Amino acid sequence: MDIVVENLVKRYGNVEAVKGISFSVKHGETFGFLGPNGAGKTTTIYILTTILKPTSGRAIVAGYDVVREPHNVRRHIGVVFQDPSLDDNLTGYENLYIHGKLYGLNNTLLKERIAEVLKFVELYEFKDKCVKSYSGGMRRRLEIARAMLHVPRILFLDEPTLGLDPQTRIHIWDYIKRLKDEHGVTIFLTTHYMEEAEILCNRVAIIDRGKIIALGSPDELKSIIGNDIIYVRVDNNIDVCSKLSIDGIQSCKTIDGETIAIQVRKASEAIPEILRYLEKAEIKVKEVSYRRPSLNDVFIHLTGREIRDSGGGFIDIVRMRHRVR
Amino acid sequence: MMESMYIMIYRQLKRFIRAKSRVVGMILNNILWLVFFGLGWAYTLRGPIASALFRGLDYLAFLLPGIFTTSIFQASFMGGISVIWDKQFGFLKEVLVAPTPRSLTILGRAIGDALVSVVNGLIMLSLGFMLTSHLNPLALPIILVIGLMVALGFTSMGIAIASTMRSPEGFQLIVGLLTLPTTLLSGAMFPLSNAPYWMQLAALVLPLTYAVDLIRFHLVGISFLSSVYWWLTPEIELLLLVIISVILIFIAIEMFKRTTIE
Repeated sequence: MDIVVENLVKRYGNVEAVKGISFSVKHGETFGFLGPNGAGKTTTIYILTTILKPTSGRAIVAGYDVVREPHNVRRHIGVVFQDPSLDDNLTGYENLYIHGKLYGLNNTLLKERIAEVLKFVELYEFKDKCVKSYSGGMRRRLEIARAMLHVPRILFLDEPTLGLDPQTRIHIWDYIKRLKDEHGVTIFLTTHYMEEAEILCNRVAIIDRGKIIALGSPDELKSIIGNDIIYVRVDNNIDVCSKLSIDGIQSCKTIDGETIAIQVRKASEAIPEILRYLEKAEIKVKEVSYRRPSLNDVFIHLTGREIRDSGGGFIDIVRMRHRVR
Repeated sequence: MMESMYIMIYRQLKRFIRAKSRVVGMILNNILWLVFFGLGWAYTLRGPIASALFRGLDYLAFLLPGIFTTSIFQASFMGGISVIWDKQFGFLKEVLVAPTPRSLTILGRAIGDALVSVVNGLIMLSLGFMLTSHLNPLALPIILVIGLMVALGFTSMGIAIASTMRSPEGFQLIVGLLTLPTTLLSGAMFPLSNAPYWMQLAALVLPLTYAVDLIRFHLVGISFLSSVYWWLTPEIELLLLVIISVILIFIAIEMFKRTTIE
């Protein structure tokens, strides 16, 4: 086990950011923390990377206790923080050079490694340019390169693609996949993009308000729901769910006031029936869509809320229209 | 292990060289002070009274050691702000997760910033050598050592204060509040011996006053303080400076160890 966490709690004053979480990560595994902003993901990363002390509980990283032996933990981990942590006034090469020296690499090895990691993230030709002139995606790539420079056993990535455009995001995913496949490094990442968790992670913990509410492989998690989901947007806040009584409906939930999510075995067959029913009940339908379950639906199923900024789903479109009004 | 200290010195120096506008601004500021303030007063304060006041020195020769010292003080004290920039721009986290003692990284940073402010002082001093012939060039090695120590002490003071703060504005406010009285009272611009007694007492509390007098002693051969206070010999001044700087360095290390990411 590369990471073992037991009953970890972090309190800031009266606010409990992490409320007693437990999990473990195997060597070579990519483990994801999926949850909305403020769920306690970054706090957990800060504790695991030794720069924040937990209020109670225990965390073992690379075989060492993060509170009692932070120095040993630090030697075995690489970290990409959510906010940039590069020195803007230095070049990409200099940033890596300083990092290598801080981690005690000797000059010959360091030069080789710098060239290697820079080529890996395709930044070698920009190595002598000031980081100031780098784009957001280039900075993130440089940070990934830097975190890999000292060949860590475990790599921590806090929201690795936050704020990047879709193409760059796919690019970064590719690097992360290659790190896992070619270098066998254990990866712990946090994200609130469910596609990211689905594509990259062997196992995902869904975290909400400081608690892990579900844990398993993406497939296992999706099987919690298992079936198609129909989204119906109705005219006003009528409690549609209580009125709907059609065979084959497994669950019905109201989200965002006027949108309801209905779980069925087969959406294509259920939609006409639901529409007929609503028409009879004189409920005006504004919009209907359906989709196969994703981790986002698992999250909605478990919490009744949506992971914010999840990108491109029906609910987001609804929300955007609300904003436009 | 020591590598991590050297690399932080390297980083601070690299950053200084990279910031070309800062270098140019520094040199320009120095020239303005020397020419408009120094030369202006040097032409005003002439004749037998001034000569008695400055013990036979011309005003520029009196002023230069003082300005050399206060410019080191100001640059190094302000240098602590880089800790706050690193907090804001995130580089601090990179240092905090590195497997190296924080005492070494912060010491490296203090030494790097101290070197930068001594270089700043040197630029000013080299201008001074062109303007007056009273300065003793043989004193250069010793005043560099003293200057470096002064710089280390005040850089540490800046780092200690910056470690507790989040915003550069707050830090600038504190630096501004402390810098002006310390500079004015240091005896750099006028001899303290004729100032009111309470002002002399206030000046003696500030370590910069000793530094100015000590460096003046080495550059022009006269200690203005020891003629008023017999016990303030250059040796005692040096001892006081070393003690104060070492204490400030330790405080800076302790404060930096305690600094956290929000």
